[in-house]
Amino acid sequence: MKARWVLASVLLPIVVLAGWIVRLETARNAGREVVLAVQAHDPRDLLAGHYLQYAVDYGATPCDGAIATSAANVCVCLDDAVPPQASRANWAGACSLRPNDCETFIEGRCEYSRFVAGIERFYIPEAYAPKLTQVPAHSTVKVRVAGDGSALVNAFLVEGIPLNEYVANPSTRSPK
Amino acid sequence: MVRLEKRLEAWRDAGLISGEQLQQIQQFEASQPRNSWGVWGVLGIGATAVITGLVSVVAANWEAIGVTAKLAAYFAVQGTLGFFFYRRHDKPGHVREVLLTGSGLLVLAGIGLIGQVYHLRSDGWQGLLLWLALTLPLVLLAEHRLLPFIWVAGLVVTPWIWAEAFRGALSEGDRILIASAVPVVAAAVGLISGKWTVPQAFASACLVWGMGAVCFGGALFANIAWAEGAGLRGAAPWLGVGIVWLASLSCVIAARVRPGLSGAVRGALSALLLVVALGCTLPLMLTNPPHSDIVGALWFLLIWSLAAALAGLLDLKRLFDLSSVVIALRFVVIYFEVFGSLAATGLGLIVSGAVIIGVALVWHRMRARLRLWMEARR
Repeated sequence: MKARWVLASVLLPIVVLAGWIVRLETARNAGREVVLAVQAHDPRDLLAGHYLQYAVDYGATPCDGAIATSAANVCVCLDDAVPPQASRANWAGACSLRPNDCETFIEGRCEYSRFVAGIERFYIPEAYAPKLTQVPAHSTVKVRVAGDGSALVNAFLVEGIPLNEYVANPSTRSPK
Repeated sequence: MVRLEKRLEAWRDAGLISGEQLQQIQQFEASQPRNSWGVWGVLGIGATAVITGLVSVVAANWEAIGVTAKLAAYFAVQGTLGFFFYRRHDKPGHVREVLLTGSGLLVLAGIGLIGQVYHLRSDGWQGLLLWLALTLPLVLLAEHRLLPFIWVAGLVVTPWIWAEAFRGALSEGDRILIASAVPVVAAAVGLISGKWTVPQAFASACLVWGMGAVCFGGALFANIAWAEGAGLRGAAPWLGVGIVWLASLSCVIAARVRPGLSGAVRGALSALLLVVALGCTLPLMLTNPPHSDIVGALWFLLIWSLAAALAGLLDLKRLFDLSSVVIALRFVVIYFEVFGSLAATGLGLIVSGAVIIGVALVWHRMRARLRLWMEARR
């Protein structure tokens, strides 16, 4: 009995964390890929620790009005823009009121009148920090959006170029 | 051991024990297993050197390591530690505890690594909550106190991070009170261990952290809640108040059913828990209570007086001394709160110094008398 309990205790974190990774990998490869424009969440502090903290520019303010202080989950419906064109919101509001034709949506909540969906952070290598003292213009994130409204960041792009390539050669510009 | 040898020789020379008794005591002590801090120290230095080296190597090459390799390495290390712990779980000792503690702490590193690899945003409490849930079974297997003390510390801190970050359906007052109730529940688990089987190291961690938070956090929170009640109040936090009282009453019941406690100890413990619960919830329910700053200070003193009484009844000398020092310091703070502006003048400094010396002398005399009085009632 004791040996089984010990074995279960040792295996529990391994199994749960492995299952979590499988779930994240599935989410990373499933759903629709969209590109979203981003801007500095706080212009003085883009870099917090070893990650970029930003606000997603949905082209609308999902947390406008009474919903900003309500406890309801907020949904943002995205248009049909095809990457690399950035998607924009064509509807935002309480998830319970989401229109039927809203197929691609991101679910989140309002924090201090700001829409937060768990995609507002991108971890970077420490060496990038000195080169990212301000938000590069035309930054976007590549996001996988699942059918249940959850979203996962796959890449941070500057003018369509992956961040690591941009940092290696900031003068690089993608063809328009 | 050297100190004990000297004491034994002094007792023999004073005629308190015979030479034969001295030898018997020495033989008995020599046969006892030693919880050697020296061995722990050497093990600790070795483990720190190894871990620092590993961290340095990994950190220097972090960017060159692929995501899959990082995750695979984590699971390999976690699995290896788990395997060796499983092999040694029935052999008590330092190695078993080092493997167990390493396994438990590595889970937190794994959660952080996954969050980093997948760019997950978190307020901190979600990761800690997951760690608490995943490592509880490991913590219950601990025979030494290190891992249980770290785990219960996490249990006390996590609700406060949640209370700060969570902006859901609950008001701030509710969130603060729910976070305050968690250490009280921990104290109840620690108390119940005398009645039902709870691993000793875990029960000890629950009791120390739980009662520590009740005395330090409860007294401070009650003081602030009385003094600044209007700022904390907002909407009446009925849910939080209910949960705090439920936790406090469960702790009182745990104290009542725990065997081996005298009626006086049970009474003092129950009074302490109820006074803390009342002090933390009452000011949030009242509208503009009169002289709330004075009531807040008195509540602080009442909580620590009950803590001192409890320590005296349980013969916990250090806790008794700590309680009386806190009470004395609060008196000094009250003096500065009332006559703070005097300290800016030379005469004011002389008076303030005299007050501090007076409080210290009164504390010193009262402490000895109080201890004698408590002993008579034990």
